[in-house]
Amino acid sequence: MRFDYHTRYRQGFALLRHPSDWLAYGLLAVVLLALPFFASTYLIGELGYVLILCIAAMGLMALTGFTGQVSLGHASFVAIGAYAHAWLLAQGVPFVLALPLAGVISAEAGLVVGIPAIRVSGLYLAMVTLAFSIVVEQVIGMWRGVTGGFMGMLVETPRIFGVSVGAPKYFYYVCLFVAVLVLLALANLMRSGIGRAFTGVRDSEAAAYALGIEVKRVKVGAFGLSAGITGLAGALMAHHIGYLTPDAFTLLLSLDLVLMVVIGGMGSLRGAILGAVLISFLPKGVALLKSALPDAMARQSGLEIFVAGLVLALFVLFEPMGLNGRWLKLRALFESFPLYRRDTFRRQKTYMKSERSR
Amino acid sequence: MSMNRRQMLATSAAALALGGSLRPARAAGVSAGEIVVGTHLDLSGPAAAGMPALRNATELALAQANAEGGIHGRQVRLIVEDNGSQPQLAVRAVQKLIRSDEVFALLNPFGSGTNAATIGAAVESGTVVFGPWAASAIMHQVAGGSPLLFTTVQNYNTTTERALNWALPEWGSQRVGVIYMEGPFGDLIRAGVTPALAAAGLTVTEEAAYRPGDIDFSSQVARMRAANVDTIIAATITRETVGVMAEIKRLGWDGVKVLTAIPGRSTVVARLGGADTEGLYGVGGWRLHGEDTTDTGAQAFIAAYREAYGAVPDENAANAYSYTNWFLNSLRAAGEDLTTDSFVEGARATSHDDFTTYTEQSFVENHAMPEMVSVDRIENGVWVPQTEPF
Repeated sequence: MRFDYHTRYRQGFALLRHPSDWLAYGLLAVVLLALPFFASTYLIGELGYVLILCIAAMGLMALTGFTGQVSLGHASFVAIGAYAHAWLLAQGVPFVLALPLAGVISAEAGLVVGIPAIRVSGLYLAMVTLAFSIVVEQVIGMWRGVTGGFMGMLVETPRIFGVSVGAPKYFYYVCLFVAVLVLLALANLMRSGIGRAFTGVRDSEAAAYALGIEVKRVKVGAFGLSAGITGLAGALMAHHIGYLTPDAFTLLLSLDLVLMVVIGGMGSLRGAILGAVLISFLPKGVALLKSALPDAMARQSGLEIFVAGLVLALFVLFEPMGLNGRWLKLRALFESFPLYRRDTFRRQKTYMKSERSR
Repeated sequence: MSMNRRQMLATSAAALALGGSLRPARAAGVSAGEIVVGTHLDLSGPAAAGMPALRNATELALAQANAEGGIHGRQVRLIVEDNGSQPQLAVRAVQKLIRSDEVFALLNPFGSGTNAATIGAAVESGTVVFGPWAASAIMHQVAGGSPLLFTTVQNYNTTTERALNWALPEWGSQRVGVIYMEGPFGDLIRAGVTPALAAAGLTVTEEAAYRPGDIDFSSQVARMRAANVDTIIAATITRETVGVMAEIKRLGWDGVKVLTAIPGRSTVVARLGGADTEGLYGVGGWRLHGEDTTDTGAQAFIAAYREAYGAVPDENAANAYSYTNWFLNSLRAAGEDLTTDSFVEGARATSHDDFTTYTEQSFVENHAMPEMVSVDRIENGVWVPQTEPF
């Protein structure tokens, strides 16, 4: 068992509270930094893509997990970020400027979508975001001068101060840097007043309003923040794909992002990352599974969809708190080993149980 | 003979230089007994239902070559990856094939967006890309004119133009309408329609677009009817072609000729449409064979496919089989010392003619030429050629 004896008020807010946390995350950082020197180019390329998905999943988590707003159209923010970035690069804007600018452009689009979010919530908000993503897909297809239309556009090799970072090894570091930056920014945000306002709006709009939180502003702001982060992921995604066409940003990508957030565990950044890792390696797992299956079964098409659906169904049934929830339980089990109580994680209070009491 | 140090240095430098020049430009995936080839298909996305036929036919052609002792003693092994019709997944699949499996070539990879995202990186890494199922002209543009990309899919714009150059004067068309799918496919077909109409001194009378996935075509056909067109060019694929024809038959609109582009001229359209698609014209890019075919090559293919997979192959399977054989013949022509350079030479020296092609084809600027077409018409549920291939 471990007990916290705080001697100062700020200790309660520390991101890493225990020496063991410092050790674990330090080790993780060392491994991630050293990996390109050991792993194959292929694995590094894969990890770069996983990091991009982690950023996008954290973006959606800021909206769905922290503020309780659903979005089925986050692929459109990935698309806006990707196209804005590629277009800026083509105009001669340097990479280090184009990347944040792409995030800003995507955030502005997010603010526009956030406005209807003031009035609608739940299923209706899901419909609004879905409609938005369809509109964006159409606009990308039609706006040939900027996006190259359905024929697509080439993305230039990323260069930082004249040095190409297009090789998988260097691009991995770029992705890692952005991912860590986003993670730290969001983790810090969530322990600030704004973060508490987000959580307040999620748990009860009426209570938050009564406490003086400007619910409307928080909701729109969360949309902008989420879209901006997802746009950053989109800008990096543009380099991963190399040649942008509208079919890279369909509903399938939006659903993948929602899956990451739900399976990872609502309301936690660790969940977003775990979910992104799981969902992006699921196809590899299925491919491994296929090689173990008899040929007649392995040749059936649709096994990937079946396994993805099965994983989601099992999580919803047996672990509604997602991978993060499972991790917290495992950790609690180890920490309090002989004294672990099964009821520790029984939910005392549920939010969003009824739309009426919001 | 004694050598001084300087002579020795010079000799070894010459030997090194010789060795360097003899070393193949790249022979990844090629070993003494094996050639590794990769492909990526849509195994989990919207086009997944059509993939087993492509995969089976490709594997059939490779298995037949392997059973005969392989290519210059090397067995050809195919690695299939999933692209889910998503460019991101295709990029990962191709990265795995190139970096992890180290394939020699990508053979018949599927999809326009997926290939556009991956072909550039593939040819840059020195991997041959043969016969992608995608718009050929765009693929060459993306590959930057690389000699490693060989395309076999007909360009829809030029083939449509060719067919219309024959059909418009033949039918005496005066008022021409176009129903097209929004997206690259519709854009390509319209790029062929415009010059053909200009050559005939006409302009498009009416245009109507639909979105991928639409199943109701009443508004598009109504617009054509209102404009009183005498010829409709339908840039439609399987289900949409049937949908347009069903709507025309429902209105009882006789006297209008409907011409669908290459993807619409499919046996599936005739089978799905039944009475609705009777009289539909289509631009043919290859020869179709039913089970009752008299062509011996086609008979042999159908029999072998049925024996291996217990089903009758469709036309896409026939095309995959045909182009895989072309690939294998190119490998044979490359000779025993297989490198990308020798493959490129071999492929350019090889011509291709079998039960699917209209005439002998060879690579002109790495694209299968000539692109001959025929205009076919559905009569009693079967596509009947109205012209000799031209």
